[in-house]
Order: sequence, then C-alpha cells, then structure tokens
Amino acid sequence: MGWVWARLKLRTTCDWKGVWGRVKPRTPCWSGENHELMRHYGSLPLGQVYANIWFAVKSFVDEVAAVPGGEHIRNCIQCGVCTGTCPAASEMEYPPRKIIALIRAGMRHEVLSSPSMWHCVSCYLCTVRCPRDIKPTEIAHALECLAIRQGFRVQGTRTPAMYRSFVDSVQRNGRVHEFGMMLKFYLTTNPLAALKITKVGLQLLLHKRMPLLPKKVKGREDLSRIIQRFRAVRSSA
Amino acid sequence: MKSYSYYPGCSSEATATGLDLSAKAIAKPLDMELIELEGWTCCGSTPYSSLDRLEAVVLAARNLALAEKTGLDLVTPCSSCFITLYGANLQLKENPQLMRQVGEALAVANLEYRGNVRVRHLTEALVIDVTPEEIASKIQDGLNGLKVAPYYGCQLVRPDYGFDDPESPQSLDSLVTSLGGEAVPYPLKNRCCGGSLIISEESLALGLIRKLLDNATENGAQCITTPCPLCQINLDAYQSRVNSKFKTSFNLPVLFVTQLIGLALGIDGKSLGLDKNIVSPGPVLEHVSRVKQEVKSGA
Amino acid sequence: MEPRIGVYVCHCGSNIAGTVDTAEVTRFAQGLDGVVVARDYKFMCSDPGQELIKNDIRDLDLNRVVVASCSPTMHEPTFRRACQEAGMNPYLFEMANIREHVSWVTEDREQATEKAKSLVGAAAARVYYHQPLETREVAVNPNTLVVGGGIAGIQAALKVADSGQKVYLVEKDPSIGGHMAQLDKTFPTLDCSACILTPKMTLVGSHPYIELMTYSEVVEVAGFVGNFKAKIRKKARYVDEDKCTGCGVCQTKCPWKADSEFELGLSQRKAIYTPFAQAVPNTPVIDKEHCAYFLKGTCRACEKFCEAGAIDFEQADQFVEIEIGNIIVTTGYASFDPTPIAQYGYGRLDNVISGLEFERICNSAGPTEGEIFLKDGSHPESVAIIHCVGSRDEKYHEYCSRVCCMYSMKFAHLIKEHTDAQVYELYIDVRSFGKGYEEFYNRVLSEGTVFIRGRPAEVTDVAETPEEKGKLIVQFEDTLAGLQRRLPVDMVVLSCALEPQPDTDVVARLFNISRSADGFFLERHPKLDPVATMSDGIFVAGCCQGPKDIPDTVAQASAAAAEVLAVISKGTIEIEAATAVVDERICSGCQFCKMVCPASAISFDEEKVVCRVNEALCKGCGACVGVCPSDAISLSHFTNEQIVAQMEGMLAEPVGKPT
Ligand SMILES: Cc1cc2nc3c(=O)[nH]c(=O)nc-3n(C[C@H](O)[C@H](O)[C@H](O)COP(=O)(O)OP(=O)(O)OC[C@H]3O[C@@H](n4cnc5c(N)ncnc54)[C@H](O)[C@@H]3O)c2cc1C
Ligand code: SF4
Ligand code: SF4
Repeated sequence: MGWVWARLKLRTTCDWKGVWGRVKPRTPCWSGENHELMRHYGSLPLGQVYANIWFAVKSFVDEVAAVPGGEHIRNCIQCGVCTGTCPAASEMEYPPRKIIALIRAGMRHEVLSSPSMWHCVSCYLCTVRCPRDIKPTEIAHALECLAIRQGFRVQGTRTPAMYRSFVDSVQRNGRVHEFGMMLKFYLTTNPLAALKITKVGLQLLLHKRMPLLPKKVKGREDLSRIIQRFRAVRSSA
Repeated sequence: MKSYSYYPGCSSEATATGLDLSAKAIAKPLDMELIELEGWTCCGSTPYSSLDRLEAVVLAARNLALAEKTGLDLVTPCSSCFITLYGANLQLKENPQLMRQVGEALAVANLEYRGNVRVRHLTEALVIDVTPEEIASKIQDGLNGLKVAPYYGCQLVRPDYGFDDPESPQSLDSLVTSLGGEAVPYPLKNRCCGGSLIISEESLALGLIRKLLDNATENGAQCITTPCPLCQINLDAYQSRVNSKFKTSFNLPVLFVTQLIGLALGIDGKSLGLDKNIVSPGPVLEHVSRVKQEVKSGA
Repeated sequence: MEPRIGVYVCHCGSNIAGTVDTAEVTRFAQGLDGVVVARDYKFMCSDPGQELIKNDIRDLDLNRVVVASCSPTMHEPTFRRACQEAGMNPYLFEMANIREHVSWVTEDREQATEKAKSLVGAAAARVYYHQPLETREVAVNPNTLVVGGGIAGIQAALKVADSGQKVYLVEKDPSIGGHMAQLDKTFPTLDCSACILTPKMTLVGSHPYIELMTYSEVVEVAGFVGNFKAKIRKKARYVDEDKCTGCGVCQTKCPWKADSEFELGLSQRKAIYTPFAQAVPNTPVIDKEHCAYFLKGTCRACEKFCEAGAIDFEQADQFVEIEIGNIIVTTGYASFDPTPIAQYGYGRLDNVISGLEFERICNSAGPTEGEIFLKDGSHPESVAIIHCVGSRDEKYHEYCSRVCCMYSMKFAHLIKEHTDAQVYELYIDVRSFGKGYEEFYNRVLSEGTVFIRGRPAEVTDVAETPEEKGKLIVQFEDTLAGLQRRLPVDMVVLSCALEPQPDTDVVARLFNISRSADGFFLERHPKLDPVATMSDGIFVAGCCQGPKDIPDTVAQASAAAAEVLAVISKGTIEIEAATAVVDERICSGCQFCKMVCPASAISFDEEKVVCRVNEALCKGCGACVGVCPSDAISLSHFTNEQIVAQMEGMLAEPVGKPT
C-alpha cells in the first residue's frame, strides 16, 4: 500500500524536496533503488513523477523491454560478443553486455544515470554479431530515451548536450544547421573546448563547408505542426 | 533513364556539399535522374531518436510521405539518413498503431503515408541498378590503378539490408574496380569512425579514426573513398586533429565515392566539389591526369 | 443393432479439468443421440478408468464408446484394448482430443468448454456410424537395411547381424567409418578413435550376415513395415570388388592427384584411391573427375600394374533391388562451414582452422603425421579455441551441438601433449554433462589450459601493438573479468557446429521421415520413443537425429537394433484394419489411384478394367480416395457417412443444457 499513500501525498503537496523526505521512510516495497530515483524528482513535472513511480513498481527489465528496441532483452545469454566487439567499450563503465546484466538486476538508477550508453557510436556491429538478436545498439538508444524521459542528469558525457543541440536545431530550422548546432553545443558545455577544434572549424569555413546562417526550409512550419500534433496524439493514447 | 526521388540530407547543405554536388554531377552520365524531394526536412537521425524514438519516426515519416507522392524510390547518398529512413519505414510498416498515430499527425499538414516507399542508398542504386559493369563501360580514362581504400563505415551495410554483407562488404570494392582503380585490401573497411560522437567524445572518435587511417596507409592506399558524409568529415577534416593528437603525419585524401566516379567519368574537379576537400585531393588528381596525359601522348 | 454409446470425459488431473468444465461436457454428452451413459473421471487411462468403461459395456450393454481425453497417438491403443477386453470390437471406439486440441491451447474456460463440447459431439455422431473391423497380421521380412556406415550404422548393423539376421549396410562413400574414422582421440577417456573403431569396421566387412554396399545410395523405397522394397544404386568403382586383393599398387602408380576428401583437402590422394589406410572395404575407387584416362583418354597405369586384373574401365552403375522388413537410417551429420562468419577469418587468415581439420592435423596417420604445424612450418606457441562456432547462434543454428565443449577440451589436452603451447578456451558455457566429462574438464584445467568466458567478437591480423605483429589477434570480452581484451595467438581452432547433412531433405522424403525445426530427423517421441519415426519400421540413430557424442550414438544405434529385432522376433505385425475398398461397379479404370498409392497396394485388372486394392499392402492412408474422380474408392473407418456425421456433430447447435 505504500505506493498508494505516496501518490496521495505527492498530489497534495508542491514542495518536491519535502515530498522526497516524506515518501522515503514509508516506501519499503520500493527498495533502495527507488529512493535513489526519487532524488531526481526536484525538477520534474508532476506527470513524470507519476510515471516514475509507476515504473518503480514495474520491474526495470519490463520497462526496457517495453521501449521500442528493447524487446529482446530477456533473451541475452551474456556471451559478451557485443562488448567484445564494441569500439567504444573502453570508454564505457558499463559496456553493452554488462548494462544488460544490470538492467536485469533491476539497477535502474545505476544504469540510467550512467554515461555509458551515450558513448555508443551506432556502428551496429554488436547488433549483427549478437547470437540472440538482442540489438544492443537499439537498447543503448532506448536507455538514452528512458534516461531523458525520466529526467536523469548524466555526468561524464557531453553526448546528451550534443544531441539536444541537434534536436533544437532541427526543431527550429526543419533541418540541422550544423554551425548553429556546434555553436550551441560548445556554449552549453565547455566553450573553451571549442578552441581545440578552431583549426578544423576554420578549414571547414574556408572550404565553404560551414555556412554561418541556416537556410529557410519550406517544410519548417509544417514539420513543427506535425510534431505538436503527434505529441498530443501520443499523450492522449 | 531511371528516375529517383532524391533526399540529400542536412549535411548536403554544409559539411557534405561535395557529396551532393558529385552525386548530381554523375547522375546524368550514368542515366539516373535524381529529383530532389521538394520541401524535405531532417530525417530524424540518431541524435533525435536517442532523445525520443517515436518522435524521430514522425520526422522520417514526413519525408516518406512526400516521397510516396512522387511514386519513385527514395534515394539518399547519406548513410545516416539511409538507416534512419529505412528503419523508420520498417517500424511504421510493422507497427500499425504507430502508423495510425503518425498518420494523424501528418494529417495536419495534409500529408499521409501508406508505407509504399522503398528507401535506398545511392550506393545500392549504383551497384544494383546501374551496375559496376555499366559504369565501367562509360569510363574512358579511368583511375588506372589508383590505389583506393574502400571505406564503407557502418550504416551503409548494417544492421543488414540484404544488398551487401555486413561483415565483409564488397559493393564499394566492385565500384572502385569498375572505375579502373585498385581496391586495396582494407580489413577495417566496415569499422566505425566515431560518427557524430566526434563532437561530444572527441578522443574516442579520434582513436577510431587513427586506426582507420593507419590501416589504409599500411595497405598502400593513395586515398580513401566513402559514401558517408560523417565518415568523410571525420577522416578528412579531423585528420589534422589525429596528427596532432597522436603525433602522426597522415596526409591521405578522402573522397566521396561519387567524386571518385566523377573523376573517372572525366568530370572536372570543381563540379564534383573536390575543392571542398580539406586534405588536398591533388595527388589523386595528378595520378588520374597523369594517366590521361599518358593515354593522350600514347595515342 | 441400435447404437448404445458411452461417453467418458477425462480430467487428466488438472491438465484438462483445469481449463475445461468437464462436468458440463459430461452433462452435454448425456443429451446426445444414442448416448446411454456419460461420465467424467480423473484419469481415464488408469486401471479404474478403464474398468469404468469395461463395466459399462457389460452392465449397460454398450456397443459404442467415446473417450474425450488426450491425443489418440497417446492412448487410442489403450482404450481400444479396454473395449476389446470387454468384448466390443475395438473399431467401435472413438476418441476426442480435448487436451492437446483444447485445454493446452485455450486459456478461456468458457471457450475451452464449448470447444470440448463440439469435439465430443462430433465424436459421438461419428461413432454412431462405426462398423466393426478386423485387424490383420502379415509376416515380417527378417532382413534389415541400414543406411549410413558411420559408427551408428556399424553398431546397429553388427547388433542385428549378430543375432543371425541378414543386414544390408549401404554407405555412400568408398569406405565405412564416417566421422569417427577422422577423429584422433576420443573424449573423455582419450582412447584412439581408429583403435576402437577399426576392429568393428573389419567385423562388418567380414560378417556372414552383413552385405556391405559401399559407394552406394538408396534411390527408391516402397512398401511398409515388415515388407519394404528398396532400390540401391551401386556407383561404378571401376575396380572389380571380387578380384581386387587390396594390395594398393594401383595407388602408388597412379600419376594423377586430387585433394583428399578424408583429409579435408589438407593433403592429396591419387585418382584411384581408398580414403584411408584402414578403409573397409579395402577396394579402391577411381575418381572419374580426376582420372587421366577418363579425362584425356590415355594412362591406364593402374590397369597395367594390377596383378589381379581388377581394374575395369567399362564398369557402369548397377542397380540392386532388395526386400527388407525394417530400415535403420544412420546418415550422420555434416560439420558446419565457418566461412560465412567472416569475422573469424576462416579461409582468409592462415592458421584459422576448423575442429575437424585439427583432428586430422593431430592424427599420427594424418597429413602432418601428428605434428601440429603452422602454415610456415613452425610450431604454435599459443592456440585459442573458440567454442560454439555456428551453434547457439540464431543466425546459424540455435541449438547447442553438445560435443564441441568436450572436443575443444580434448584439443587443449592434445595440444599440450604435442607442443609446449599455451592454450586458451573461449567459451560461453562449459557443458560437460556426461559420465567422466566434468572430471575431464577438471583435468584440462589442472593441465594449465586457460578458460576465458566470452564469445569472441573477431579474429584479425590487424595489429595494434608491436606484440600483436604477425599474430592472429582474438578480440573478445572476458566477461568474468569484465574487460575487453585482445589476445595474440599463433593458431585459432574453430569448434564448429554439427549440422544436418546437406541432403537431409532428400533422404527424409525418400524414407518418409519428418524433420524437427533444427533440420535433423524427428523421432517419434523425444523421451519415450527416441529411435522410432512416424513411419513404422523406419528407425533413426546417431547424429542424423541430432548432435551427439559417440557413447550416445552407440546407445541409440543399439536401441534401434533392439527395436528391429523385436519386430523380427515377433514374426508378424498387425496392420491397420482401415483399408481402401474399390467399388468395382463404379470404377472406370482410370488408374489415378494406382499412381498415387505410396504403398503400391493397388493393381489394375486388365480384364475387368478396374483397379483393386491389396488389403495386405494398403496402409489406409486415403490418398486414393481423394484422387478417385468417380468416388469409387472408400476407406473403411473413414467413410463419407462417418466423416459427414462427424462434421455435423461438430457444427450442431449445442443442445439445450439439461439441468
Ligand atoms: C571435431 C569433432 C570431434 C569429435 N570428437 C569426439 C570425441 O572425441 N568423442 C565423441 O564421443 N564424439 C566426438 N565427436 C562426435 C562424433 O563424431 C559423432 O558422435 C559420431 O561420429 C556420430 O556418428 P554417426 O554414425 O551418427 O555419424 P557419421 O559419423 O556422420 O556417419 C554417417 C555416415 O553415413 C554416411 N551417409 C550419409 N548420408 C548417406 C546416404 N544418404 N546414404 C548412405 N550413406 C550416407 C556418411 O558417409 C557416413 O559414413 C566429434 C565430432 C567432431 C565434429
Ligand atoms: S551479444 Fe547478445 S547475447 Fe551476447 S551478451 Fe551481448 S546482447 Fe547478450
Ligand atoms: S552499436 Fe554501440 S554498443 Fe554496439 S558495438 Fe557499436 S558502439 Fe558498441
């Protein structure tokens, strides 16, 4: 009954930090993992808080299996071909095989707050080599989506910021404006790091491969309307 | 002449102008008509689908819907756009519920998608529709033995589209050979260059790029060729970064495969966007034109 | 005689009753036409269950019985026997399958109950029209055909022949022995494969009750259990088996060579050859494709030197027809070709070899005389053995090949025996399930072989460090250490899957054997009938039924022999009473039926211009009934009347529930 109680409490208060303080001692059935999760609620909208609580009750592996791309996760035999293959494994605290093991062990917080999947370069080598058709590449991206949706703030990788700049650029222009995207990325992460690639940037400019202004794209407005509509359709479903 | 609906991809307007130019330049001599998709927008590629998988599908669907109206195969020269459009197409066909939701969204712009588009990579069209034999027959001087490392990268052949082997692909090799070039053995030809992570995880990507350059050089390549805009910019524009990070001295031109075909067809460098390559393709041009000279003086 | 039907609904514990409302089905049955009594019971197949039927037959004067329970393949014989024991003709019994067809495949209780009711209704309507039939017995031909001369075929042939019954052993290669002849030593006891196999091969070659036909293939099979006919093609050897003394001089004189199949192309043999030294029979064959005389018209060196005058270039393929009562199929397996797994480099990188190639290299009678060499002639200092190549992989074979872990560990031991090399086993799970197998694993561990848990990602020669130069590098995740590693070695052995023979489909069709999803032959029951097939009188043994090691192969082969001997010693077999009958008044003599009959039971009467069914041969399959354009053939026990009644019973509106 703990979680029903928590829902009521959450509904009647708007002090999120306070909620966390109150929910914690009364939610034994959620185990330690979920207390970790609650730490992130401070900045989340109410709907997401509910979503998270709902997911906390469901097992983590079910949750990943429900995301497109995560379907086959239960069939993994932990053979390690994916990690053995992965060109980014050395940068990952939890390379593909291990992350699957962690998901199945219910380590939601460890997984979703980890920078590991953000290092996936989408080479699909693991996917073609996996003997069980797990598609670890898709799992990596599914985890990224979950982490974003559940508001995890990930340390140790700048990929989410890069993806965010990309998506913002698309949503603003209809197409990616590469210069604008890079600019935003460096401004939001580490402007000084941009210095390292000034040479690359200059060369691209000189070779006319980096227009400074975005093109006006004909379908831009259409696209944003379509996206808006899709969001509405999806949330009502 | 076979017509295609042509999706250039966002990078065609910036980092991969050379790809777009050369693709358009070789189309005519190869009897292909590339009709640019009117009002195309971003395909919803990896960065987008990593943040929101379903919304990314909507982005692809808009382009698919536009393409469906033309009744032509949708061809893109960009490997990343290819995998995204191809994957979204598949997902829509397999998931009626998603198709319905996407349909509702498309309706606000008077679009609809029924799932009838065939998404293809330009390389596939070149290999399957035009065929290397046909290309060879149109080549005059050719590359005459230019040693080329055919670099496929990832998303042209993986996960698996059935047109080439994901582990030991051959299509680019056959194109290079048909141009009169020599496809050098290139064991890492289908390994990753780091893709867009060159921006966010530079050191990871630079390490991968270095291996690729190393392997091509070791096998005696005079240049690398690739169909993929991301691969091209990583190997080309970031070659100097590799050199400064690893104290190496690579100076290996990286040409789009369409540029290479254009060269062999005798199209001038400017129309192929060769002036936009960062590592100078001069030695390649020299090699090819030397051949031309020889042919001329011999005649 | 007015039908008096008894209906019995089985609970099968909770197997049926858990999903089907058996009481409701019983109530429903009580209201059906001709039903005198309907009961439900926990286990109809138990003794008390059968007693229930028997008592009712006696006490209530039943003359028809329906049991609604499991599949007829399980218990039809049981209930028929019970009816017979109570004095009723067993063909007046009918079964409704409400377990496999209902309770096991339906979740909704109401739907399940409705379906069970309609099946029971159908059975009761059908049984109404059943006629008493008499089963017949025919004599069994005591000869046996064994197809495939690997260890399975050898064992089965010897067991049957030793009892004094005639065996025809047909082998497609020039010699018997199969894969076992190619192995070096055998796990877990490490006895030399040839040492334990060749005595058995010799026994086969000289056995008075075995007629060995090598270099031969079965091309046609007709008939049924007890009375099969088979046609065998003996391929031309161009050597007269009766004259040849096996001296081998021809092979030394022959100037033309080809890759040796037995040595997997690792060495060459002559155009006239026996595959290996201990071949049985020891008679060589001439390989037409590589013979100078056949290709160019001159040479005949073998003929010149053969003192026995056994060479016969004029020989042609021969066809032999034999009659047998039983057939044992032992066609074995093929070794998976790892070339498609491009990332392991087989065929591209030197010193990446398959398991079977390793067996030959390690064998003192093999191409290197047992010395383990690299391509450049040096000895390896390190060897990696990769498990599960082509096995446990949905892209190739989903199943586990069962022997690879064990033979991989055998390799590790042998490498240590022959060289000083360091050996690495790269495995996913070590499966050492047999007697003495785990002990063997321990032994290999203690010998210093390094076991690494991780399915390798790739084998490459692209070096990343100076130590890797000139080596094969195996890249993998050491899953237990949680590290991505690159291991430079000199040699890589791929432990390849065992897969169905490439011609399995043809053989399956020839002998009318089904195949399981993995492609191997399907046994009748995985636990309780492991060597029989769905075709009576046709048995399978050894790796053609699924990957297995030699002990299991031999056990299965002996089991198949015992099955065959049981049929032979009984002397007769009961055959189905359900046979086809031609109504000669209607038959137009078109002979379509004769063409489709798989049992060759139909003959044509030229005089009366009608077809006639030989009841002794008819299997009751019904093919003729379906094909007859004038409806002249009917099948007893499957008459139109019965089938229509069954359909009507099934489609009938449920009778109002009696309260
Ligand atoms: C590398 C390797 C190492 C192994 N090591 C061991 C070991 O150490 N210990 C152990 O217990 N097991 C070992 N095994 C397993 C062992 O090989 C098999 O258990 C055994 O050979 C199976 O015998 P079989 O007679 O069923 O099949 P096979 O040996 O394949 O024999 C089948 C025979 O049938 C013939 N044939 C096929 N089709 C036809 C046809 N249509 N008509 C006529 N003839 C036909 C073939 O020519 C062949 O002679 C090993 C397997 C491999 C691959
Ligand atoms: S390769 Fe596939 S089965 Fe193997 S560990 Fe990775 S996900 Fe699991
Ligand atoms: S797709 Fe991603 S997780 Fe898979 S091997 Fe490539 S980088 Fe690693």
